Amino acid sequence: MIKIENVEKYYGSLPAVNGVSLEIKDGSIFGFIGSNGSGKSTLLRVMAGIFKADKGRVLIDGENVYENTWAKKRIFYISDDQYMLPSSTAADMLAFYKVMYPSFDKSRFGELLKIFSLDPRKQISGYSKGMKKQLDIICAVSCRPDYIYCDETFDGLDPVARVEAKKLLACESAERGMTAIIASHNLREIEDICDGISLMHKGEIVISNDIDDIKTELVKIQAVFNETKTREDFKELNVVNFVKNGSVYTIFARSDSFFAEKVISSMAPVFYELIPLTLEEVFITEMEAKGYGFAE
Amino acid sequence: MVLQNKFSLKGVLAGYGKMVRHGLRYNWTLGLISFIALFLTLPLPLILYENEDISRKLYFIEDMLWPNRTAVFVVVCILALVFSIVMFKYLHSKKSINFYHSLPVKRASHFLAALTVSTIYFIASFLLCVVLSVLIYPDLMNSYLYGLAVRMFFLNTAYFILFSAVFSLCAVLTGTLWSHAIVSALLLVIVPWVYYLTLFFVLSGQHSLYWEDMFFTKYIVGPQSPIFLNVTYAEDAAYMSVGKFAAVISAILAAALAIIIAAILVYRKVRSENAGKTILFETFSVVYKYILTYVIMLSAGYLIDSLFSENFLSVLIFSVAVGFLTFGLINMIFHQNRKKFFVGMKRSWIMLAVFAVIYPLCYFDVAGLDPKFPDSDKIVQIDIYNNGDKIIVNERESIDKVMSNMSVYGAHTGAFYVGAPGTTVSTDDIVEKGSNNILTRVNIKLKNGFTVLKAVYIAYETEPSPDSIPAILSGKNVLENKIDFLQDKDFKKIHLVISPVYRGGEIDSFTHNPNYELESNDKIDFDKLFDCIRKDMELIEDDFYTQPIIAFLDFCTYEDHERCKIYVTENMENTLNYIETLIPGMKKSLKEISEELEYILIKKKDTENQTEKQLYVYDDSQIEELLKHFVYSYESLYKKVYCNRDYIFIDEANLNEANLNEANLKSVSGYLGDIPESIKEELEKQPAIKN
Repeated sequence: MIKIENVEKYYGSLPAVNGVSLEIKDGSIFGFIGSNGSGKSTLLRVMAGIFKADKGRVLIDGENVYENTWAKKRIFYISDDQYMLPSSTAADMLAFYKVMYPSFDKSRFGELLKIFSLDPRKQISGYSKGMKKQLDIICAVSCRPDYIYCDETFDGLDPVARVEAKKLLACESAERGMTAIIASHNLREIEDICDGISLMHKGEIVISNDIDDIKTELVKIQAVFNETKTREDFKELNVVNFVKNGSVYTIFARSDSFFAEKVISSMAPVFYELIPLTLEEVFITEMEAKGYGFAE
Repeated sequence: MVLQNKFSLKGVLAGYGKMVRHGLRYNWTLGLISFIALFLTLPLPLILYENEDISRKLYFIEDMLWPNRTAVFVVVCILALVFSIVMFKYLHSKKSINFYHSLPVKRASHFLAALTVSTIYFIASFLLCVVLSVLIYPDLMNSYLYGLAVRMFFLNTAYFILFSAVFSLCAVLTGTLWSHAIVSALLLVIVPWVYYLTLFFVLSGQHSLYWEDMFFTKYIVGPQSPIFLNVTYAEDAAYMSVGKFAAVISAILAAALAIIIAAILVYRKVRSENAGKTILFETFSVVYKYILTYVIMLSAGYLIDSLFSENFLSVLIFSVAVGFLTFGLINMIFHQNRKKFFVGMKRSWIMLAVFAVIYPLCYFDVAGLDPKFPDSDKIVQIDIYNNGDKIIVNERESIDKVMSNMSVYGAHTGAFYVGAPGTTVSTDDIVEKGSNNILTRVNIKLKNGFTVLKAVYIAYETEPSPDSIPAILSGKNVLENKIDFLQDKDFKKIHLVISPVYRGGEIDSFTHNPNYELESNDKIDFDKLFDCIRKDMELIEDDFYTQPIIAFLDFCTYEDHERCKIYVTENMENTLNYIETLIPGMKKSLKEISEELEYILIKKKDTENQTEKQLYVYDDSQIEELLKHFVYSYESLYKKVYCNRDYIFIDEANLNEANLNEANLKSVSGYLGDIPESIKEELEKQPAIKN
């Protein structure tokens, strides 16, 4: 299990990660979503032992990750800034990771290269960006780590490769109990693969839960009233966002759907509807609630 | 229980092996670069000497394998810098640092592996080049030359490790490849340069100090600068005993180890996220900023001082102005922001103000240090150096005598210049006599551990031999003093070089051309040699300094590396007779030598028409006449004549001896004008032969 205890990380005086605490269960696929500069990548690097936390710590099965080779042998970090050994081929990467990770599975590496149609003898510098990402994922899976950290890994993959890569992570998680942690700003990537997510903003975690719970925590109600209503009229619903467009009201509330329906119906609307939320809507609503947005 | 990420040797070693294997595999080009650079420095020049005669080959082999050879030292230094840049470049890119630091390898392992890989490639290529050098002329190699090769290998390998440690420390302090290269290069120069400039300004009011001698350029940036730890101890690695050599190597390696430990500790503190910044540590960045400003400020002052001949106001104003601008510019560069010109300016003003106050105090010598002589009773020893020679004065009475001699003239001139006895020296005299004066350096060691260095000039034309200057100053018989000094030593560890010198010529130029080298365990009986010298001294007395010098004996003690020269004049019969038993031919007259020579062949080349004229001279009197002319013109000829060489080569157009390839013939080139007229006429009559 990964335990993040009150981690803080500063770039100069700017807090990149600010007091994050979290527990991630083994065998799950967990996502970090957030706006650009929200601290996802920084947190992932602290979790991988690349950055040292200024405060707090990251533990894997009770052991601090930073400068701990035992813990780091169980982690594979796929960076958003790809780096491959200079003038190397996929076969060279195999040789390198085989030395670094004792659990490296050579036959699995060969299989995956075939699946992704990558030539092991071709220089990596001749690969496209997507192919390099595929090779990263292949290396990561072949090292058979207990934890894979993917930082914007699916960016730049074509749809087929993306599905294949996700399937690969899901299989590893299901078969070996591997934990995958994915940082992305692409909500759709996270939505269909992750068991749980954390939404980050300005270095802090805004919400963190299982995906289904997050979706049900918020309700979106569209209603039409004869008389004018204000935000105050819906205060029982714990309104996160309130939009009035003529006589149509759109309300985002942190509330139970049954309770919300009961409250709205008691206010004698001309029409009302509870609309299921996409993760993207949850993300936008929460971010707007935190004041994130662009001036029109 | 939570395990802490403490430093564990086992953990470091586990990753270290992996990273070394990886490093060796991906950086083989370093080995190739190293081999090419060292091959060009070591075996290749030796191969180029293939056509030389044996004695020259021996000389070149010795020269090439000399442990402190500057060319090898410079290559080692450059290789260490290049290797550290290549091996630590991963620290200076965000991409690569994320990659390497995500691996299950400790930071200490990364660091040590990078150092190990460079050292392995260096040692492999260096060893190969040394072995190749030794194998080029296997027949000429002897235990002495093998010893030089071994010492060269160990000394330069130790230096490589030391430089690599210094440069790797620079690598972990800096965040970009360029800043690493610049900081490393500056570190080599900046430390001695700061030392030099600080002394220059602090001592600016002490005009009696002899600058060129004290702070010669080689001590600033060359192999003898403090940063290279090469000041005294490693300088003569070829001569020192095995124990001392091992101690020097151990000291260099210990310094390297200390720097490596410091670098690892710093590396563990490096924030990976700072890769790409000029300087990784805020504090170091500030210190570096001030040091750079300080150096540039003083360098500007130094330049103005040289250009405008010690114009106090120009130096002061220009230095402060340059210091101010430099600080602002460095601010802008470090912060990569034009608006940051004035960051931290308040503190920089303090530095500029301190300089503006201290410099005038030094320049006008407010403390009155310049004309001040130390009290005689505070002195424990005075060393008088002259022309590579040294006399140590440590008895109370003699110290008083030297100080009295110096102070008499010092008081008169208001400085420390001392004239020869019987002469009155003023500052004007010294200026007028200029280069005709002989400088003697006097080191005065005080009881409190300080050393005062003074320059003493004596008019050259008044003295027949430089040896007499220390005698004048100390009032001692220098020769006797030297023999006393040598007899106190353990002769088993004395190395003696006997060099014949041509009469009346410069002596110093011969110090690097030993002709006959004798170890104390050879056939030489030192007691007998010293007895002969003492006997001669009694016989010749004052006549010693007026006679031509025929040879000098250069004693070098292994133990404390003291050198001592004794000149042998033509009238030192006993000494010459003894040397003759060691080196037959030393005492030969020109007549004897000419009788031994079968002929002298003179060739005159005409390079335009590609012809030459040849003349064989068989007549003993003509040979003697020729030798006489050449003896006084060309020292090398005289030396060769002593070595029983065969003929003289005259080539007015081309004086390059390397062009002469005739087997078994010894040659020397000279000028046509030096041949006696009668022989020249005969030569001109000879037919011109087409080359």
